[in-house]
Amino acid sequence: MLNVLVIGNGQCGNRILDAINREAFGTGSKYAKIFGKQKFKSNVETIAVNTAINDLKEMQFTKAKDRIHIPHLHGVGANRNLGKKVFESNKEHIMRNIEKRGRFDIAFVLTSASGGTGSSFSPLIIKELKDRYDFPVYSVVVLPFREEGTLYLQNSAFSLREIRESGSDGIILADNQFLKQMGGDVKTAYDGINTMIAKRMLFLLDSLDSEMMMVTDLGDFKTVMSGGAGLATIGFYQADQEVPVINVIQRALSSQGLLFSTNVYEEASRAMIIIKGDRKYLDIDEISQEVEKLSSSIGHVFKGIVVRDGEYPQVLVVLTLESASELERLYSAAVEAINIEREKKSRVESQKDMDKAFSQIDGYEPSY
Amino acid sequence: MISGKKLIATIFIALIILLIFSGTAFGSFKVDDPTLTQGESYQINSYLIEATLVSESSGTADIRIYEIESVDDFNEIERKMLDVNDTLTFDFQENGEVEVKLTGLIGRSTLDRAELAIYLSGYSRNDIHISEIIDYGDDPKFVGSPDIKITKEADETVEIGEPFRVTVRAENVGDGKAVDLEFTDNHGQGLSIEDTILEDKGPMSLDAGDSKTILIYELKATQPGEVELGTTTARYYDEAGNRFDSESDELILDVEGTLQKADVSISHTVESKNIERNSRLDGTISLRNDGNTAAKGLRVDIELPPGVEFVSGDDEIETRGGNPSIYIESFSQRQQIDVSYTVRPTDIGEYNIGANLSYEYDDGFSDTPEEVNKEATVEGITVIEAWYDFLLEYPLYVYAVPLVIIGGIGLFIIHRQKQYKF
Ligand SMILES: Nc1nc2c(ncn2[C@@H]2O[C@H](COP(=O)(O)OP(=O)(O)OP(=O)(O)O)[C@@H](O)[C@H]2O)c(=O)[nH]1
Ligand SMILES: [Mg+2]
Repeated sequence: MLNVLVIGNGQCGNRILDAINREAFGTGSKYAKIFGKQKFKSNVETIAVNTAINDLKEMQFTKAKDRIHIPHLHGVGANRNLGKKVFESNKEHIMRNIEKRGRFDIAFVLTSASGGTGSSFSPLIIKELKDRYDFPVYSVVVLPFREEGTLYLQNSAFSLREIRESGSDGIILADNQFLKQMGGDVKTAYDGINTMIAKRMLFLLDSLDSEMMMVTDLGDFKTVMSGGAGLATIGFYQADQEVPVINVIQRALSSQGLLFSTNVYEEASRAMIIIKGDRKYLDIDEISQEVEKLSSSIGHVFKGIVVRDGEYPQVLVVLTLESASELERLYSAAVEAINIEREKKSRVESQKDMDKAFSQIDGYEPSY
Repeated sequence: MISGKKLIATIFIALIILLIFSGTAFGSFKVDDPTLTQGESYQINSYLIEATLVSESSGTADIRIYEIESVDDFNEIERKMLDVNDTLTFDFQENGEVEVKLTGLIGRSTLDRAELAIYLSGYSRNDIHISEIIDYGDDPKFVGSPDIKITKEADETVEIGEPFRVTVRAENVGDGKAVDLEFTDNHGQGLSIEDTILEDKGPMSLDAGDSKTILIYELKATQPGEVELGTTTARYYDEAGNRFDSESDELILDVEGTLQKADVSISHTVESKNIERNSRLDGTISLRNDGNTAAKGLRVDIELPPGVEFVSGDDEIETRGGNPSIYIESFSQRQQIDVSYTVRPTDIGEYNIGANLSYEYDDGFSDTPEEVNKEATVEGITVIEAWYDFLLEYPLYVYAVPLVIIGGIGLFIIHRQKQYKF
C-alpha cells in the first residue's frame, strides 16, 4: 500500500483538494462525510494550506486537522513576493505538520499558477520536500483564464518556472482557459474543472496502487513523468453507456478528455494508459490497435488494464510533453503583460513628475 | 275477663271520682258558715256580704253584696231580704257563683245576729285568699292589681364598637303590690355586653307606686344599621297570688360607622386536567383581598393526595413535613397575588388538589379576631400513563440496547461532524 501526500495550496489548490476528498467518498451526498468512508486504495494524507481563512472554511470534505491556516489577513492579494515572505516565516509550522504524518512514497502539490498564495508557496514547499525527503513530488498546476489580466499572466510565467526549478519531479498542467468549455458562471466552471481534476487524480492514485496483473505501477508513472520537458497533462474519458473501448481511448486523448490543450501525437513524449471496465467491453484487439497508434508517433506507452465487473469502459492517459505550443503562447502573452505592467509603472512615475511640476507653485498666489 | 256490665260500672265510678275531684271547679262547696252581728260583713276575695238589718223578731235579715273596686269604692251588686232558709246568689268573678243561705237568727238585747251558710261554685277553693268577717266600722281588705311598667333607656344613635349605657327601670303603676317579681333581660342581636354596672332582677316585691332601677349595663354594637334592643320582661303576682307579666317597649337603635372586614377570595387552577404520569403539573392559587382591612396570618394549605408529589413553588410556599402551604403574615386590602407551584403525579388515577384558606382579621372593635376559612379544590385531575411508561414494564435491555445504539450513532455523528468543523 502506497503512502500518498496531497497538498493543496491557495484557494484553487484547496478547492481541488476538497473535490478529491469529496469524490473519494464515491457518492455525491452531503452526508457522505458523516456516514461514508473514503475509497482510497492507498494511505492518502491531504493537507490544505492558505493565508485566507475563508477559503479554508469553505472546504467541506477535508478534515479540520488537515487545514492549515497561515495568518496573513485576507490572502496575499496575488502578490507573490509577499507570499514568499509569509511562507518563509511559517515554513517550520507547515513542514512540522507534514513531518508528523510519517513516511510517504509520493507527493502531489496542487495550486493555481496565477494567484498569490498558492503560486508562491508551492515552489517553496516542493523545494523543502525535496531537500528533506527523497520521494518524488509532482505538482498539479492550474493556468488562469487568459482574460483574468496581466498580473495573473505574469505570476503564472514566473511561478511555473520556479516550480520547475524547485526540483519538482513533474508538472501536470490543467488550463482553466482550455477547460472553460464547461460553461456556466465562474463558480460552476470552477466546480466542474475541479471535479474533472479530482476524478483523474483518484483514477491515477488507484492505478498506481493496484496489485492486479497487467497494470501499471508507481515505477511506470515515475518513468513517464521523467520524460519530456518536465511538463505533463492527463486525459480521461468515462463511458456512461456501452461504447467501443476504442472510442473511449480516442475521446480521452481528444480535447474532450485532456486538461491542457495539446496535440498528443505531435507534442507528447511518453505516455501511460490505464483502461478499466467489464471484461466484455475490453476488446484487446481494439486496445492494442489504439495503443500502437499512439506509441508509433511518441515512443513507449505503458499500458494497464483493470477488470471491473459491470463497469463501462474508462480510460486515463498520462502524457509528458516535449513541447507545449500553448505554453509558449502563454509565455509570449506573459512578456507582453510584463511590458504593459512596466509601462503602467513608468506612467505612474511620470505622474510623479507631474506632481513635481504642480508643487512648483506651492506657496504662490495668482496675481491679476 | 271483665263483663260488659262491670265495665260500664267502672267507667261510671271513674266519672264520679272525677266529678268529686273537680268539684272544686265545677261543684259547689261550703266556704264558711259565719254568724254576723248586724253591721258586720263577710269578705270573700273582693266581694263583701253585709248583714245590714237583722231582726230575730221579724225572722228576716237584709243581706247586701258589694264588689270592692278599690279601697274606697264599693259597688253594690245584689241585695235581698232573706227569711230563714232563704238563699241569695251572685256572680263571683268570671265563672263563679256564690249562694248565701240564712240558716238562723239569734235575738239579743242589743243587735241581733244572722247565721249564714256560704257556698261557692265554679271557682277553686285554692283561689280563695280572703274569707273572713269584717267588724263593723273596719275597712274590708282590698287586694289591688300590680302593674309593672318597665322602661329601658339608651341613646337612640350609637357608634359601632363604642360602649353605650342601658338603664332598665321598673315602676309599679298598678294599685296592688307586686310580689315574687322577677325580671328577664335580653340585650338583643348585634349587641354585645361590655360591662354590667347594676343588676337586681329579683325575686323582689314592689309596692304600688314604687319604682326601682333593676339593671344598668353597657353594650357595644357589633353591626352597623338598625339594631333592636331586646326587651326586658317581668313576671310577678298580686297578693292574691294572681300572675302578671309585663314587657318593656321595643327600642330601635341606629348604629353608625362601618365594620372592618378582610374579605379574601381564593381561586385555584391547574394548567391541565389531563397529564401524563411523572410529568410536571403547574397549579396557581390566586388570592385577593376585597375587604377594607388586612388579613392576618393568611395561610393556604395545599392538600396533595397520595400519589402526587410536591416539586417546587414560588417563594411564598413553604413545606412543613412534605405538605406545601402558603403563608403570608399580612395581606392588605386590595392586595392580589398569584402563587404558582409544581407537582408531579407519580401514580395514574384521578385526583383532587385542595387548597384550604384560613386567615384572621380585626373587625375594629371585637376583642378577639374574626376567623375565616374557605376552600378551593381542583377536582378531577386525570393522570394517564406516559408514552414511555410501557418501557418500564419491560426488562432493561429491551430499551437499553436500542438507546445505546441510538446514543452511539449520535456520538459518532457528533464526532464526525467535529472532525470537519474548521
Ligand atoms: N480550476 C480552478 N481554478 C481556480 C479556482 N479558484 C481559483 N482559481 C484560479 O486560480 C487563480 C487565482 O489563484 P488563487 O488560487 O485563487 O489564489 P491564491 O493562491 O489563493 O492566492 P491569493 O488569493 O492571491 O492569496 C485564478 O486564475 C483562478 O481562475 C478553482 O476552484 N478551480
Ligand atoms: Mg485566495
